[in-house]
Formats: sequence, structure tokens, C-alpha cells
Amino acid sequence: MKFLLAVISLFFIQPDTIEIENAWIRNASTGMTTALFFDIINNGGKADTLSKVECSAAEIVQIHETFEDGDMMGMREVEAVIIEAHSTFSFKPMHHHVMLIKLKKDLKEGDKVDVVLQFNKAGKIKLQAEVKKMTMGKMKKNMH
Amino acid sequence: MLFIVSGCSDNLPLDKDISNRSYQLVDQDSSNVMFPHKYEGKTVVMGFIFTNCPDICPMTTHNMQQIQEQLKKNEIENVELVALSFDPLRDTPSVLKEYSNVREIDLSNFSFITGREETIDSLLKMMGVLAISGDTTYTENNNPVYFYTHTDRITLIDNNAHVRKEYRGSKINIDEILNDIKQIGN
Repeated sequence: MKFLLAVISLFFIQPDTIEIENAWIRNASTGMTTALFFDIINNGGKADTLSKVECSAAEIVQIHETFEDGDMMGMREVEAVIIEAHSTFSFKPMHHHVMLIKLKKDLKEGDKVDVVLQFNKAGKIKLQAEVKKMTMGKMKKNMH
Repeated sequence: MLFIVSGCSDNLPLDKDISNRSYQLVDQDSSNVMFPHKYEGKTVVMGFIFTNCPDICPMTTHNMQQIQEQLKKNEIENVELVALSFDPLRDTPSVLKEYSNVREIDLSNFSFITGREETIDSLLKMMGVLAISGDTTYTENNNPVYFYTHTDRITLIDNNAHVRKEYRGSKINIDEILNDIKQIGN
């Protein structure tokens, strides 16, 4: 009976509309600026918008995108990011990232940092991001 | 048969002599650095960064570390890696030292340098690197925090202080620059 119920429930369990995977932060020292990266997976049939990020490890938290203009590169703040239905949006090196400005403490490899992502439809999603040193493997993984 | 040896090649398209220039700088240990003379006789891999950059400059720094690792692996000597900060107001020697410590950079042939604002401006101009302050935000105490839009660059300088090639700092092909360094060494 229990087995039958488990099988039936598989047809009704829906994945969370918004899932967050691969959250990580570059290591950095107190007072410096670093970046938070993650993948947003929208399993739902409608677009959602990431409108705010909270992280108590930094004085200022902003969503930014890196841009290129010839051989010049820069960053600019963006107000919000739309994640289309049934799609994945990656915050990754050289693209969108969450800027953690003026860190309140050292972020060392292995540390876990609490982050809250606020979506217009999905509401607040809490997660932990792991602090990592940049490695070539991670760079290749995050740039594809 | 007559062989004509040219200073330039397709691999090393530039030949800009900077040996007659002189810039008084300091490194992460607050030691004086007279650039480029300090590195006379050595090949120099030069990157341009600011330590408050969360995305592009860490990539450039990481790429320079990768180059350093490959130089060791291939037993290529006589090469110095130099990361110049174009944010002298914030990137003091102690900040540069901390930046290198956090990344566990081997400083035996890798240095982070800075200097007076006007010296840095003059050096950047000479090297064809732009760094424009902008994207300013403010802390709760109304202190400005600024970031730069800047040239994404690693520059290769030969052992006669001639600029030989420029690369994208954050996207450099490590094998390419290694081959170029070997060519200079030959």
C-alpha cells in the first residue's frame, strides 16, 4: 500500500518553481569586494524576476553585469533579472554576478555564507553559498 | 644565402621601446621599484588590475598565476610577473600584500606594484591602458565606493624592455603566451 502511494505521489510532486544551484562566492578579505555566483532554474510555466539579494556578510549587495566595449571591460548595476519560463539563468564570471561590497569579515575557502534571493513570484529563497578559491576547473565550468 | 632577422614577427607584432622611460613605484612589501629598469634582462608579463574588482581582475590575476605555474612546470626562467594597480588611492602596499596572500601567490617572481596617482596615470598612458572610474555607489555613511571600466590587458615585455604583444587579460590563452615567452627567450 505504501509502495503504491509512493508511486502515485510521483505523478503529483512538482519541483519547486525556482531552484538555485551551484552557489559560490570568491574568497576575499574584510573591506574588499567580491562576487556571488549561482544558477537560477525556473521550472515554472511563467517568467519570474529576481529583484533583490540580501547578504549580511557585506555592507552593500547589488546585482551587476559585466560588459565589454572593445577591449575595455566594466560592470554596471542592474535593477532586476528576468528568468524566463522553463529556463536557467546563470550568474557566472564575466557575466551577471551579485557584488558583495565592503565585506564585514574575511571570507575564506570553505566558509558558508547565508544569502536570500527575492523573486517577484517565488518570494524569498534562502540558501548558503560556499566560499571558494578560483580554480581553472571552476572557471571553465562557470563560463559554459 | 642571406638571412634577414626581423625584430617583429606575426607572433610578436609589436616592438615598442620603453627602456628609456622611468617610473618610481613601490611593491607589496613597500620596496621601491623603478620600472622598467628593475626588470632589466628579464621578460616581463604585466597585468593591470584593481583589487576591489570582483570579476574581471581576479580572472586576470588568476591567469597570471596560471602562467607562473606553467613557467615553473616548463622550467622557463628569467620571467617576472608584474601586476600594476591603477587604483593607488585604495591599493596601498599592504592591501596588495593581502590580495596576494588571499590568493596564495608565489611572490618569488610575481609582484604587485603601485605608486603616486600621477605616476600611474603616466605609465598607463605610455602602455596604452585606460582606466575610467565610475559605477559609484555609497555606503550607509555616505562614503563613495567606485569601480573602474578599464582595458582588459596583459602585456608581454621582452628582456630589452620592448613591448612585444598585448593580450586580453581575463581571457588570455596560456599556451599562446608561453610560446611567445619561449620565442623571446630564444
